[in-house]
Amino acid sequence: MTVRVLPEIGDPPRLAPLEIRRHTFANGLTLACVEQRELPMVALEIAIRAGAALDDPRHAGRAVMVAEMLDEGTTTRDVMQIADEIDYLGAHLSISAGWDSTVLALHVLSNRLPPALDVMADVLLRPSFPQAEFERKRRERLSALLQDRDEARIVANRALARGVFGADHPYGMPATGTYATIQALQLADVRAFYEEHYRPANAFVVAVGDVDFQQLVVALDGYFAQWQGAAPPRQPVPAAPVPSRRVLLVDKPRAAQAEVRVGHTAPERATPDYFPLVVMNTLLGGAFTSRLNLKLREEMAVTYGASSKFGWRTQGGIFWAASAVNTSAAAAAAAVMLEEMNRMRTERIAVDELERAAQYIAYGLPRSFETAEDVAAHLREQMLHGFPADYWARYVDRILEVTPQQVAAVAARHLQPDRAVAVIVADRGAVEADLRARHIGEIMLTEIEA
Amino acid sequence: MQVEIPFQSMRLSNGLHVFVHEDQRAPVACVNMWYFVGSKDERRGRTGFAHLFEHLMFEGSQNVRKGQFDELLEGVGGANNGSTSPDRTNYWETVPANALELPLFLESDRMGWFLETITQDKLDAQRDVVKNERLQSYENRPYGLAYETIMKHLYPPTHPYHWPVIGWMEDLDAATLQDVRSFFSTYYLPGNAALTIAGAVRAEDAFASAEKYFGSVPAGVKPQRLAIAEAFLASDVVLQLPDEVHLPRLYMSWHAPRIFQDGDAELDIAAHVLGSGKTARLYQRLVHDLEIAQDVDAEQESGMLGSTFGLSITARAGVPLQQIEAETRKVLQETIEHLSERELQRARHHIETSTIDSIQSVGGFGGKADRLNHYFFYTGDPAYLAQDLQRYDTLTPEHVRAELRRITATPAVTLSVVPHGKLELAVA
Repeated sequence: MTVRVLPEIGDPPRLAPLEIRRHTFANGLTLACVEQRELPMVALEIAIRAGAALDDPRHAGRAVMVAEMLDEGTTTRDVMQIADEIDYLGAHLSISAGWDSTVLALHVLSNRLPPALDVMADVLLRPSFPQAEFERKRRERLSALLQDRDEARIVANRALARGVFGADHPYGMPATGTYATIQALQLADVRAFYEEHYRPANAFVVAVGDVDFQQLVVALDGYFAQWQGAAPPRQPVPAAPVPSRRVLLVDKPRAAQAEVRVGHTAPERATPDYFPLVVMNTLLGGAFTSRLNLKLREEMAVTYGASSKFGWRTQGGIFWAASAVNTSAAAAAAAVMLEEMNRMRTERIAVDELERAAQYIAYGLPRSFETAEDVAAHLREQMLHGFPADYWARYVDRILEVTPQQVAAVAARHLQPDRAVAVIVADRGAVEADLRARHIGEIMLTEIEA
Repeated sequence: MQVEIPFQSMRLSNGLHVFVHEDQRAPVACVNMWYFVGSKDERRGRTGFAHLFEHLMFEGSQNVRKGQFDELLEGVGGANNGSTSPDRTNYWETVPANALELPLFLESDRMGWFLETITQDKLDAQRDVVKNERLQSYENRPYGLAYETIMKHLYPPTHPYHWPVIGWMEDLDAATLQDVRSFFSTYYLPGNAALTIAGAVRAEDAFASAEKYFGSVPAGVKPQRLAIAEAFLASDVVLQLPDEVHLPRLYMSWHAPRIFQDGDAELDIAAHVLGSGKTARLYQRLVHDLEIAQDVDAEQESGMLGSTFGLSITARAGVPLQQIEAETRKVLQETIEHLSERELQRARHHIETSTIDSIQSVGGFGGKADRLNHYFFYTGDPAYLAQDLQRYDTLTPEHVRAELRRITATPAVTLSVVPHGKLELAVA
């Protein structure tokens, strides 16, 4: 071949709609199941609609602690028996609390599902919350919080959340808690949270992989029929404060680089602006060829990578841009982030740039439906927000329908550079002068908090 | 354990090995390219080249302008990445099945139509990106410099595992355009590479496309491999590294048998038994019972020129690492004296789960395509997966104990990472 030309690319394949089998149990627990029989793997996940958003700031870390305590002992098994049974099966049972939900995720070869499910059900229904294990977990968490102070990126994320929401808002506190809140946490609080929220009408099951739907219904019915309880009343998250633009400079002496964040509040996951916002974010900082990454990494060569993200939640959320940059470029990077946010709001968006971003997301979607865990995660999102059965099949179309005008409109509506909080975690002496000279906003100097 | 990845193979006249695995489960196709060059092929004074080169490969080629590589792939909904290790460099692209020809075009262009497009500007820019990568991944991470400190002492300066893949900053600064071009022409050859295509493809079409895009890349001259003497430690090495950390951490590392050689599988099992999950020996004793540790880790890191068996234990604040070391050695001794069939079986079950896990994906790091190339590179047989898993099936607890006894009786590198001003917590 003497002439090298780009190949013609045909039409992309359609994402086949998931064949979702559903069942609602008498106690209100719901199940969504997708059978994928080619590989002997199962991802079985039980989600409780309760997470860190329910922790008032004084109780920050409680939802996470509840999740951590579930496999620390049941009425019939102690912590090591639980671990031994699951580990021996070569299975993984992870239990983790996010903002909106707590997920027990079982990952196991299909021929070992029954004994693994037995442990999972025990852990969910009959946790014993032993005092000794709770104290041990508390000590472990306090030690982890100390360790977190070493990681500039964790410090930056926490400072951003605190800056955007304030210390009086659940989102302003770390989901894992602070030194003070974990020291103060009582086992009674943990137990009470479990009793109030872990109820079948407040939960759903997602199963993907080499499972037989009918057999699974029978098995789950066997385990969960005795589980009773209505969903607790909805607890709204308070309104977020509306700050004016400012910069938090967090001193990390001798830090080799600077972690930079610029962020503000964002709409909830169910926002009608979701699809244009996803495309907008891809353009801004959600791909290698995004504006932030090309500017900060390829053009200015001050970072290994820059990105932006929406932290979608059922109630409210957060938007932020992030990068780890050369210390000397910290203030400049924050300025670039604000500039790019402004530009997205005010400049006309080129059609080809938009198409590339939309195609990246739309045509890339099938890649995220390969493994059982990936499909389970999508199904879980669908269930959590009550999206229709054909949500993922329609996703591609809805992304491709987004126009430059819509992107500009949602950018104007939701990107708020004038009300953003900038965070820089760096050696203060190396950054402060340049930062002051740029007049990005009122500067607040802080130390790293536990 | 019975797992396999069926494939077909051919070899182009220029030496490129091509493997194709069909999997119609998901409408995706992936291209996975391994170049048989890693940091082990560098020489002193010019470390970091293989990795720097990996970066340059994304900056365009004769028929792909700078920036277009990622634009084109993202435009079709594709993902891509690459990585450099001491042994090899790999690149992969995963795209919707209809777009398979695009990554084949891109990969072949940067194999055969690339040399002249490497410019001083590109070199300078990527050098800066790599410096930032180094800062982000190592200098600005707690314990970030531990690994390279260990390797520097585990391997003598004449052994290529001595230096980190990312290289030393001074060597990166000294790299000239000529150095970089000559590195490419020496190692980036079709006969020094393997291409795997996997996914919703038809083998005959995939082979035809491989021939179409790669067939006219000149074969070049097969690179010489330097003979590297096996490394060993004459005596224990004990090191201390103050760092910006709250919790002290102890690392213990030993030389271990090379990938797939006798002893390698035994040590994978030993690593599971010692460090994997709440039922692991080190976790039980140090984290749960004594509460002197925050976390434990054990790994058999297998390589072509040698492996490292390593333990790492993060202590609770203020706990002296001498205590951590003493308790760790007790646990090691207990494991050497007794290891149950149940522990062995548990480790086997984990390996089985993680193997099946990895073959859920055709692309990406560790996906099926990557695995075929991995086995081909290390053993000459892409179908080695079955033999790989078979190694674990034939082990007994006695095999594992014997190997653990053997290597832990050899000298170790012991590294203590401690908070500034707390050198007394280090093992001296």
